[in-house]
Amino acid sequence: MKMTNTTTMTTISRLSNAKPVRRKLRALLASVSALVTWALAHPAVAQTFEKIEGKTTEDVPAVPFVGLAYGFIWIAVLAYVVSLARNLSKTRAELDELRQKVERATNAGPRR
Amino acid sequence: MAGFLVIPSMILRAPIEPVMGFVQKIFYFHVPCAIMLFLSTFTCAGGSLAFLFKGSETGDRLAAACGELGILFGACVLVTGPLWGRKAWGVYWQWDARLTSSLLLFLVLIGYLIARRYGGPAGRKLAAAFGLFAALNVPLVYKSVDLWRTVHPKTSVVPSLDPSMKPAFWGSFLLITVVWGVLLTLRVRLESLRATLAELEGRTEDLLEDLR
Repeated sequence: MKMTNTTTMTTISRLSNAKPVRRKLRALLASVSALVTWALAHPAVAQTFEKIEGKTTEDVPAVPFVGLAYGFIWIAVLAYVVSLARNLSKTRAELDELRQKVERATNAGPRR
Repeated sequence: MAGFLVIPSMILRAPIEPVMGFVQKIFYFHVPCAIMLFLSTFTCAGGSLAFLFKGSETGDRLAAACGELGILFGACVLVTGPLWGRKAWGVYWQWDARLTSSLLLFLVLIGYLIARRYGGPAGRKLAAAFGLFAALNVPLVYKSVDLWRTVHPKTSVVPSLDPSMKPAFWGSFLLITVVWGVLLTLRVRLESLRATLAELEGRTEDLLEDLR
């Protein structure tokens, strides 16, 4: 009995909500139709260009951009040269250290 | 060293391009840097091929050096380009074919170095594959402005350059090529020294073991 009541209530609520949904659908359909009609009536809207009078243009000075670009290149190259020079001297120092280690060991001779 | 003073003065004395104005002067070092990026990538691929198919250690060192140089000159291209674009187009970046493919090439070269450094025992071979893939990307980057509609100037700009602008452009190109050559020599030397050091360390350990 309780179950039958719940089902009835749901059906009633569905029926009462049906009208607003239909109304919304109708409104949406009307809006879409109006939009399509308007778009068909103005087919060239997106394809034409109009001359704009008195257009304000952005006046950005060019010198800082050229300076930044030129500066970046030479700073990047310089940084790379410094890093290469450091690595080269480090590797050479390690090679020298190794050479000295071998010399010391050779001069000391075998321990056995 | 004189080139570092002569070339900027040649660039400054070159006529100002009527459409873009003074900012077009970025062209004189942006384009040579892009050419060095391509040259580095092709040399990296050549070295990678020699390493993959002939086991050439010299090829591998050359590829490693060029991978790094590609990143250096790629960074120069990707920084100077947007600075030019900000003035010429009003924005720093556009996801158009030339800019996107250049960024992709740069990322592949970064992938090359990452694979080489962190790829483990097979890292050098994996990196070599990245090097080959990067070289395949170069024609796409170069032809992208002709194949797709982009905001970037076409490939016909350099051949049709005004004769009065040519000395500054070729002078700048020569200077950047010399810098590239010097950096490549130094980087290959570093890689050779590292290889010698690694080899000697192994031998020294054996020698010291024998002497004990």
